[in-house]
Amino acid sequence: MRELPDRDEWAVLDGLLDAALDRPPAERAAFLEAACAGNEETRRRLERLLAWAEEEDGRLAPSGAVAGPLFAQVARSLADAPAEDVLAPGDSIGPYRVVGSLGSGGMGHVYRALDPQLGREVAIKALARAFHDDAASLRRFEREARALAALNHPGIATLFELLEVEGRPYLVLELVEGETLAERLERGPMGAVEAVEAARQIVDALAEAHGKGIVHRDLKPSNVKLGEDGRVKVLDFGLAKTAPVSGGNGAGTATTLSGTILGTAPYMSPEQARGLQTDRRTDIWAFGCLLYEMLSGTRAFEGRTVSDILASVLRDEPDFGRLPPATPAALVRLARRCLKKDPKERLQDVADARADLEEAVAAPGRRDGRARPPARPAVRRALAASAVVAIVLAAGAVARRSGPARVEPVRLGLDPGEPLDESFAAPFALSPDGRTVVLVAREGTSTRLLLRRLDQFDSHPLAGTEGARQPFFSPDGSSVAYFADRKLWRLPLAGGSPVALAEVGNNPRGGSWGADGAIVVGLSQTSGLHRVRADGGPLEPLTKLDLATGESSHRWPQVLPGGRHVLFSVLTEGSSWDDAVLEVLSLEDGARRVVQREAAFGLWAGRGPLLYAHAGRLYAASFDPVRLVTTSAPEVVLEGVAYSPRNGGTKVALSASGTLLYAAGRPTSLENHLAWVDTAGRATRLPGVPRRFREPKLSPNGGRLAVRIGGADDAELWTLDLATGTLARVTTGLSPRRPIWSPDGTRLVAGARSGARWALFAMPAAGGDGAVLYESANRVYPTSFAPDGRVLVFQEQRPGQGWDLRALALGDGLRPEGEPRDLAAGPANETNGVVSPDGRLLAFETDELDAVVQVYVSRLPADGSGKVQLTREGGRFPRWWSAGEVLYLQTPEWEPRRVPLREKGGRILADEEVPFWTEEPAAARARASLFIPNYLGFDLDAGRRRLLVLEQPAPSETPSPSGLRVVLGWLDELPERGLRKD
Amino acid sequence: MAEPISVTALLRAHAAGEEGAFDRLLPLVYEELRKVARRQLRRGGGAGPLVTTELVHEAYLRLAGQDGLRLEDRRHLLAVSALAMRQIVVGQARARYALKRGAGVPPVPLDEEATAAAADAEWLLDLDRALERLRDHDEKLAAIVDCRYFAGMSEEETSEALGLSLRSTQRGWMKARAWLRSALEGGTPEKAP
Repeated sequence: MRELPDRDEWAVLDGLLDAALDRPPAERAAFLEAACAGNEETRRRLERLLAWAEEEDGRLAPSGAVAGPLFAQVARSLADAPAEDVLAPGDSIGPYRVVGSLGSGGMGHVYRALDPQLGREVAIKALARAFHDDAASLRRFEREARALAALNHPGIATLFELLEVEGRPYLVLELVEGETLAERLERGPMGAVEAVEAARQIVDALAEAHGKGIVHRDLKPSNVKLGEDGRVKVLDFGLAKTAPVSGGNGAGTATTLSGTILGTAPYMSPEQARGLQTDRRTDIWAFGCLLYEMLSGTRAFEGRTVSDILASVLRDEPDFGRLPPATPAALVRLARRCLKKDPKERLQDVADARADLEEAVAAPGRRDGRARPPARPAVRRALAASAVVAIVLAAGAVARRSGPARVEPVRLGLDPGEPLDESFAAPFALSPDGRTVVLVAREGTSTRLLLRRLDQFDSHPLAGTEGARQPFFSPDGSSVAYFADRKLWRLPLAGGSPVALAEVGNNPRGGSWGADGAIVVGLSQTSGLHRVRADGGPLEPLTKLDLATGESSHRWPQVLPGGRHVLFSVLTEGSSWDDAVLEVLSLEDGARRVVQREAAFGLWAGRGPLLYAHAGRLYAASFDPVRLVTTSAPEVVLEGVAYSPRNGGTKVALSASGTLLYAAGRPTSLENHLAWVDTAGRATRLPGVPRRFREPKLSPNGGRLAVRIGGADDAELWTLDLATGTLARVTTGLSPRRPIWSPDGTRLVAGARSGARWALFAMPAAGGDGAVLYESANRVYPTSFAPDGRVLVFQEQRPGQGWDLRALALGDGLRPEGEPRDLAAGPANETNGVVSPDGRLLAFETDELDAVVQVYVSRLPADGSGKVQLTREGGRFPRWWSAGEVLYLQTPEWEPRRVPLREKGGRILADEEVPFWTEEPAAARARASLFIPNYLGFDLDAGRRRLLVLEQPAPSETPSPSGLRVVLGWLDELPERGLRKD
Repeated sequence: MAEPISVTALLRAHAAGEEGAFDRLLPLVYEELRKVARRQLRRGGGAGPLVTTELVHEAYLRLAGQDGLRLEDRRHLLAVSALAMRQIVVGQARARYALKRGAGVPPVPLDEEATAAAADAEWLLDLDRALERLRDHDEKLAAIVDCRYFAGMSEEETSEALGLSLRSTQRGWMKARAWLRSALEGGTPEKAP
């Protein structure tokens, strides 16, 4: 299709067209001749345009859309579609009785209904039938439900229930009476006192949501309810955590039935307007707009059309002169800070707004542009500073609070005396009474356990513990359990031999010993939790991965004191542990509940707050031990604990006595750079800002890159032109996974949700409508094309037999032909199948041996001659270095290696492996240590013998002079004020 | 606080540029179109061709009749209906296009109408893409296409809906047609592989 010319050229041509049409037909040729002044091409274009303008066209005729056969079908299906029932009073929605109508929300009707059991009125949000088949809308609805369900705060409308009645979803919400902030502001601006009170409550609500990792994204006056009792509530989390917004292109119009402009233009932040990543600072911007509007009665950014408004957001500074002269300086300052266009310069944490709001109330004063900031006492400054509560040292404690001096906890550097194991898991365990530590020391290439009493300096080796990892204590402190030699062991510390309890395989992920003698373990990287009795018995599964929602691992369990619940971490497909979720399992009825999002490696000492790790920091939130929910917003309590976003392993331990033991590390960032790494270990970063890049894929001719940008739930597909560095968005609202290129480089194929199912989508790399190649109730991801583009290899996760590799035949234009057939489908997981450049071989992964993933190669088409195992120690992500050589990553170090293949007597044989790094491999590897490929994705540029990688988050296993730190009595010293109960 | 859905209020809100107002109008228009289509089918005995050009008119009448709209509101409703029609048609085209290309199911023999409809769908999607680009350059031209092509409005109705003179509407239609055809047919056709 030919493009329309760009704006300037178009304007000229359109003007000439108009002028030509103004003239009688006979004069037009001459006019064009003169107007184009010898420019033949322009003249010819105009001639063609003139011809089309005059000519009646068969297709593009008035009423063309409704006269054709397509529309007849459309109309027929319109007629067949069941009616949108707007319910009347007396109708039922499940157990609720409709009392009246509260109007239409953005996506459907909202009813007032009665809960007959509790005798209270509720609001019920229904999804309009027009949106029922729209996957993006269903996802939005679901997201609102999930976001609301996680929040529990008087400033946020509570979600009581998510109902499904006859296949249609409904949200049952707290009914909030009163007017919206928008309605209130129609009557004029608020005075400072009224505004501060509303602002304070909005800040509280936002802080609660942000603390739970939820960003509202659509904060505006019509979403804030002013209750009759003075309570302010934030509503409509329907856009929370959805895909980033794309810029507007017209006067408040939706662009397609399923692609609507999310967010509301006058309150959109600059990054939203640009379609960039949004985060909690987006809400802070919107809050700034609200504050401005509450005080001035006018909007901070205005315009006639959406485009005008967005342009203003990006370009203009709000006119702070419109704020009344009597406005307290603190409020003006706060509004300015919230409305900084660069998110990095903006107020970073909504809780920091509280100080300014308090000050505004305490010292209203007159607004004076030149006023110096009022002096703030040290206490206030501490409160206003970000909520980091550092561990204090015994001597020279930094003054944190006014009030009587307390005994500061003692922080010790613990020198283990021997080098410790450096893998991702904590190389230590802390006894419940906080007095004894078991350390995992390095012993050659293996490990062994050492016992160390904290009040002494010597460590004693524990006999028989070769190869031990991930130790943990029994509740009475008399024994220690650990993983070694593919088994779970227990060892009495007073003396005796280790006793094997169960076979667990090579990749355990944490264990915990409960009060009644039940030991819970994370069995492997890809399993649910299992349980075994400490005195022997079978290993039984405790939790099952919910594959439908993409759960891929349950690990790092902690049996909570009392022995009836287990706290554990849940990872979802395609994300890192920064996006993981903490859940609690009831051992009585098997019920699971989410406790905290964006959290991993939870710990609870039996009293005090819940601790967990996120992006290299330790957070704490007040914890209700009866209901097992957090009751405050989390705060950072320790910056820089050794933590691995790859597997959630965090080097921290907390005893019931309140002692903290941890290994120091650096906080990690969720964003990274793309980089090339060559075989000599030289890394070259690609220019550009760091982003949450994931799953990069080089185009077949190497000129472009397809990459996902975003978090677990909301990443979209972009292409990057490697020559110009231009990023172009490909998808919106699709959240595609594992993109691959078609061999001709014109299309991208990815897996994505399609309503309640999954599909393989093919879309033009330049953007445009995609088409479904294959649809299934099971999760599907594409893995590779055959070089002639006639076969697509993909993996499908079938119930009962895990991932299987399958092939779909394709005709011209990627038109699917026939049903997919199985390529490698067994009870184990077969994944990541890649076809060789000559189309004769398939390299793939399977974990059929001992649940450890290895790389295999087999012939195509499958001729029953079986597969050849290429790796023995664990390997993943095969790529073809050439037609006869496979590159893979050896696990767990992600070391790239090459395996040449040979054919002899009709069989495929693997030759000796060749390291990827040439010329002093060890030095090359060390040089590239931040740039080796990792679990977030990488690709091979075989032609130029280099890898495209994502720069690792900064390593958190930084060896430090004292290695480990112990803080006695740490739990009792966490200042209560930082962890308010609500 | 029960508030009946007021078409007037929604139209005014939409005219004022408020986001979300159109979102709420759409299901209303959709619902009306549905009812009208159903009635027509029943009347026509199910077998005869749908008088599809009447759909928008009738739906519009039903919606407009409810609230006693002012002249500008009626005008606005026409324009919105056209937009809604376009969305619905393009949305359905997209779905059919995806169906046609996907699912890996051996093609079921389609009747002539369905086959023609599928071909229509593809062309329509191309048109929609070109129309979006035209909208970036000149909203009025694109709006004229919405009204005339998608909603089947006459020149007079289009003028009224968009607040243009009859002559502007006529000229606009000619130019829009020219630009769209240049985008759809101009130059060497590149067949997507």
